[in-house]
Amino acid sequence: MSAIDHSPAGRLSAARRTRRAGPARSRTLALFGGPGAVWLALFILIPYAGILVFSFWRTDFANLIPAFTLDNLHRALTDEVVRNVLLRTLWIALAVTAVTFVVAFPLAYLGAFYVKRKRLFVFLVVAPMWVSYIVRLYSWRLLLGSDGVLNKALIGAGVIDHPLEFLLFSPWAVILTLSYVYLPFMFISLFSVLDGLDKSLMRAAGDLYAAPARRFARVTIPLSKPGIAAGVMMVFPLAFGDYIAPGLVGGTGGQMFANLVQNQFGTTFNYPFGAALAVVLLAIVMAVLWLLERWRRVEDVRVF
Amino acid sequence: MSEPLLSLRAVVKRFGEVDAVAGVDLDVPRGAFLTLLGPSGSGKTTCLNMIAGFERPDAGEIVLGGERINELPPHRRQLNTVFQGYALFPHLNVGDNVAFGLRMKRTPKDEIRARVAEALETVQMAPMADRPVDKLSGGQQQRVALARALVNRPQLVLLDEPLSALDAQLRKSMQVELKRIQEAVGLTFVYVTHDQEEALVMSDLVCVMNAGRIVQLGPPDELYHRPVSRFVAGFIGRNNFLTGDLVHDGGRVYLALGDGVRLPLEDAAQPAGPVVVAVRPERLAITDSAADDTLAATVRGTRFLGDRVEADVELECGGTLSLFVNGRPVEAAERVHVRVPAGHCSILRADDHGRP
Repeated sequence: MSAIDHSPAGRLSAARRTRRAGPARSRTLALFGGPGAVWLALFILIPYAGILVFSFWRTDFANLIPAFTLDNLHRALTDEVVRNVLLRTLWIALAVTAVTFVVAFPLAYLGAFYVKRKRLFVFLVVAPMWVSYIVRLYSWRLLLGSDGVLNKALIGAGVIDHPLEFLLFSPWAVILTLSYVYLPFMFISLFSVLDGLDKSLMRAAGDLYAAPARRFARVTIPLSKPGIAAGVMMVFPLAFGDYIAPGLVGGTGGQMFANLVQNQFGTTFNYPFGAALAVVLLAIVMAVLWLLERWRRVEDVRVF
Repeated sequence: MSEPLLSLRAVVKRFGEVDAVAGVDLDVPRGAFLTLLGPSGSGKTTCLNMIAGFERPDAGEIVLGGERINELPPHRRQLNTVFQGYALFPHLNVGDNVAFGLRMKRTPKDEIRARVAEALETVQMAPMADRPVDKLSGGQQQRVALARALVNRPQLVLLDEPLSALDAQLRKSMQVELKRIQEAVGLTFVYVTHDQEEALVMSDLVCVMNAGRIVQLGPPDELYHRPVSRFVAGFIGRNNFLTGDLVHDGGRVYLALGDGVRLPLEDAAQPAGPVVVAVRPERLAITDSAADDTLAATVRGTRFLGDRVEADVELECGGTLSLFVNGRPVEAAERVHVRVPAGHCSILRADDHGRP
């Protein structure tokens, strides 16, 4: 007997099978979604809940005392040092997001619309990601230091007399290195969307009297929104929460918010205050992501 | 005749080694519905893309409304296109899609509203203005794409196989609808299709293309009844072909088939030599008695087509014909005589390779 039933009745029952019965469906859900749910609960929800709980506790020197106090949060929001670092972190993260976007968008556009060997192109842009983050940061120190490659070259060329000190151990160095590190994330997000755009839509825009610049503003950008949002969603939180780059190339004037958090946990052992800072950090990132999602959903023009 | 709206003069387009369009001369009269008809690779879509400005001709010139537009970018040409896949903007709703062109031209808002409403009315989509386009059926998307072109009141509307994505039934009703709309708005349409039936139903003029060249240009009935080449005769409608030699004898002209059989023809001006004679199935008739203009044949089989019966017959002098049985019924293996009316035979060169 044939393994496949071609009779009308056989086809009908096959159709029923694809429209899965309830129990089978929930079994699939449990099987495929289960591990992820356990992972989320164990390593994200519970630790985050722990952080939130800690932020209400008190310390007596290094001892943690369970309590319900808003002092930590209050201090995190009002302390002047914290606020300065927070503002600096915010603009560094925004600058990094902006720089990666400005560099990645033309690259992704080029790759999607003009490059023939797309896979090679993507490979070349993303390749730096395969070298360790730490190694790349130290490489930037070699490039930017007062005795570094860039300063030596500039002095050698007679452009400057003394090494430029702001190149390294400054917010600028943090922005530069973080932009370099996170560029591939922005690029991949933008490229995948631009490459998937229906090219006939570009033609249609031109056909409907849109000059290239307006076509870009009215069709290309609105249709790239999901990619822009995805890129920002990756780069902004990563940059906002980074503490390694500021540690290595930021100097004292380039410390970021996550360094404060790290200090509370690693140096002063003030877990509740560190937790309160972490809550603030999370809240800001969530707020930015929420704004982003709202922007993504905005209709382009709505007259009808 | 007044000056044509659009002219292609000796237009050539090469893709690498291939001449996609190999020297096309074409005049499109104002207000006409002209169809570029041809098999895939015949150069019809390349012609359309050059008219729209998406491709630039390698030689020749394109003139729209008396002005040479070869170098004009698409957004500065006073024409609009209905694309094959419609190419509606997914981030805009129906009304905003239709309004796009007017907005790009910085038309006042009130006028945009009025004209968009009017265009949607024309294509019977008025109540759908605020729908998202991805919720529309294929036929509705088709109408929106058409409205998006018409609303700009361009000199010329280009349509690139707009009905190819629709199912057969909807395609038929949209053919009638498109023609109605074109007549109502009075704009010039240049329509590209590979579907000869579509071309016959809608067009004022059909331009048959093959291998990058125009093979024949004329009204649908002229193409149907008086094809200039074997390619056109075979591409448009159904046809029978008889191969033989044209001979002159005593002021009359005959087609010499095998076995010494001679079929009288009408066109005495044709030079003698090998020819192909095309004759439509509906022009042939089965008779009981032999005559000058009949050929002896045996019925091979019949097919019931609903409104008529079609029969295949095998000629005794060689070759087969298809015809419609309208007198008494015939049966397979029956011996019959087929009348080939001289007035409905097209005499074509035997070796035209698709060219006139």
